[in-house]
Amino acid sequence: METLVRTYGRGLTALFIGLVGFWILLMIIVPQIRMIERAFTYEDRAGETATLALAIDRAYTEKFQLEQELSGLERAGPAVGQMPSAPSPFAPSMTMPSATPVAPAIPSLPTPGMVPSASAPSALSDEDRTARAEELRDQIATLDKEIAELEAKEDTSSGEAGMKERISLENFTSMSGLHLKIFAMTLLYALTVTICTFLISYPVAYAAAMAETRGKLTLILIGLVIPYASNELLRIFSWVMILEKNGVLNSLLDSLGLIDLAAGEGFRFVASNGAVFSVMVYAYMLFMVFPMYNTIDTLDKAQIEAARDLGGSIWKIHTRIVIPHAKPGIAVGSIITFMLSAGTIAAPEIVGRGLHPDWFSQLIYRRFFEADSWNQGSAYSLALLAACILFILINMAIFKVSVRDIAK
Amino acid sequence: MIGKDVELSGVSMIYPNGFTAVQPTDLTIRAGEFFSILGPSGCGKTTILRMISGFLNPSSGAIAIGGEPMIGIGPNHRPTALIFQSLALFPLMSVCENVAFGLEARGVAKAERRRKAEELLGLVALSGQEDKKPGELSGGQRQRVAVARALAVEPAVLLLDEPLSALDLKLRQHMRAELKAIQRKTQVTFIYITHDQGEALAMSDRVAVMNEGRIDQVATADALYNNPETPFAATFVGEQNVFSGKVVRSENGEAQVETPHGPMVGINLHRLNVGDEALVMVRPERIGIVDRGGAPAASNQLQAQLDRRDLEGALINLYLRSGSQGIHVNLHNRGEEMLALADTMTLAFRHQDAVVMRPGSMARDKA
Ligand SMILES: Nc1ncnc2c1ncn2[C@@H]1O[C@H](COP(=O)(O)OP(=O)(O)OP(=O)(O)O)[C@@H](O)[C@H]1O
Ligand SMILES: [Mg+2]
Repeated sequence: METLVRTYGRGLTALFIGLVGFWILLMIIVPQIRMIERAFTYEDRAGETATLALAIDRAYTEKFQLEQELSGLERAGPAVGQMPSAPSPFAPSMTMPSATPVAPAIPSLPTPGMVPSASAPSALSDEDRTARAEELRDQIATLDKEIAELEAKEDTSSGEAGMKERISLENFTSMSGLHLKIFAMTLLYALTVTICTFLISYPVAYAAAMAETRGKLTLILIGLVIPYASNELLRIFSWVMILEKNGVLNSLLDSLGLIDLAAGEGFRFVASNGAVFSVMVYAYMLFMVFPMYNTIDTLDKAQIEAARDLGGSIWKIHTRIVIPHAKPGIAVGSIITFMLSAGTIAAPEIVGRGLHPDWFSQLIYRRFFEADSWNQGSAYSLALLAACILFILINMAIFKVSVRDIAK
Repeated sequence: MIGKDVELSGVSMIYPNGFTAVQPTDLTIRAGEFFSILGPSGCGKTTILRMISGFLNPSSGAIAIGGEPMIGIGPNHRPTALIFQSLALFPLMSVCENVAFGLEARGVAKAERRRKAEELLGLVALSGQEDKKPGELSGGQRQRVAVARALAVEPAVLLLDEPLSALDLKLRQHMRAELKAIQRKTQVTFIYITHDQGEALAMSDRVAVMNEGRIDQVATADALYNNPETPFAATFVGEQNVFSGKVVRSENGEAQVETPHGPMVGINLHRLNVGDEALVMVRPERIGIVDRGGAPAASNQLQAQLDRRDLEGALINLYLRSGSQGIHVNLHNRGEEMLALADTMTLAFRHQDAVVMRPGSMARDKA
């Protein structure tokens, strides 16, 4: 801090710190807090308040319909009501259309007195109409009273938009058995992807670290980086092209004579978990290879030679010497890979094509944008985040590395 | 544990970049011997050792250990154990695990491993340090862990690549004695690499002097010091005063060489003929002071001016000059008489203490 002030002066330092603070606030703290807040706010869609709101809605609708009918009656005969007017032949046809759209919205709504009124108001006699109008006015008055009561009740129980919001864990606890299963399976999938990525990346990272010449190393690293020059979606789509029923892989099998594409044979590789896993392993390999490469590279090669000289098998050399040394790199790589795969949506969506079991990220997406339940979506996201953090902690405990080791 | 012999026949090493690190070499190391390879940095010592241990394949020639050809046999299947220049202890394992690693690799049960490791740590005087990490040990202790770790696999040949180079002088001297004692106790063949002549002379049964990928001479320490066979061996091991000139007479195994400092007679080691270029070599401790002043009377005498006099306790080093040539004389400290040294004095040495050699490469900067 002091060195900053000394090198950049007070004004510039203040600007730096201000910008950094603003950045942290805007990009990290506020969104997180908002998400957490939403996650713990429960929108009660079936509770008492909601019923109340629904009842009020219904009462209003009913009242509206009654008023419509009444005004229809008033127009039909001048004798009706306090301000008689000439009966209009258009009245019924004008009132009905405006009333009908409301009805379908609440099909269960009982509409007393509506059916007879709709049949033929103009066919009634003046006396009948007057009597009907009186009846309607009475009903409206009762409804008004009812509404006032309901609204008073609502005001006391909660303020807002008819839906009760309260701080609770219900967004989490209301997770259905199916969703919970998807959640657990996603963590399992992510773990599988992480392990597969590790198994494939380890030899690559080891080879890169042991490369004797600069040229070899450059070749390996370029080979790793080049696929990442293209967009993630493109990468995934290219895999879809390979794995498709009419894709590259099946054509290859066909040309090898193992299957006959023309006869409709061929495997549907896409839309299986295996396909999703392969694509993700491919997509995240780099994030595993680099941290591992960095740590293995610092291993004194003489240690490997010493182990070999003492009769260590390949397995022993790796399990006892290389992997223990590479632990921080493996930890970092697995954390990144796990978080990426647990949170990904592109690969399961595109490669899975909805035909394979859902991933939790897809579920969250649907909570947000299809079920329109942002609060529950937030809760689910938070649950995923918590699971990831738990994974990091477990990971660090297993690998016995501290945050400081990882930072190295 | 019992040692085996190592035989190199026509072994050479040319690295992929075309650099010849080891010229075709024949070398026999006897079973149970403490054998040193002594040479300056970059002369190919490590290369030879790595070929014996199996990490490098010779470009030509064959290596046999205990009579068995070693071509195509990996380092893990050779009866050798290598102690690396950097020691290469496993930093994440305890001392005990380090020592037991070779046994672990061989599938020895845990309790047995522990017992064996403790026994070996006892041998290298490290009992009670089993559960420390290598990082928690001193340099000398680490060194001994490396020895114990290598001995754990019961090698017939132990290869040591300058294992003491990282230690300070006192510790180095102490470890020399310990290594020698361990070698005596175990009877394992030790092939010890060093660029420190003191180390090689003090410990070895035999020493090979190596220079620029070639082995100049293989001899016992005494023979090497007293009867060096090449200018390099002569100058790399111990100190030498070197005078160059031309042979003017050769008889009875002696040669007379005319030098800028007068005629000198010495053993004609390389059987030089009259007219040949020659080097006369005399050790500093074989030169004496004849009188204090006066002209040289006969051969093997020269006049020199005293530059500097360093007292080293039992010895006194005199650094003199004759013309442009520096001369080093090493005298026993005999008390009073050493105090009154004149500025100019006549030095002399016996014929049998001087060696006449054919000129060749010499050691320049010794450690
Ligand atoms: N992999 C290699 N490729 C090419 N040349 C090499 C290689 N390794 C060593 N050399 C060269 O071979 C020569 C001998 O190397 P070596 O390591 O055997 O020396 P050394 O005698 O052990 O030296 P030091 O005492 O410094 O350890 C050196 O000149 C070195 O530059
Ligand atoms: Mg070396």
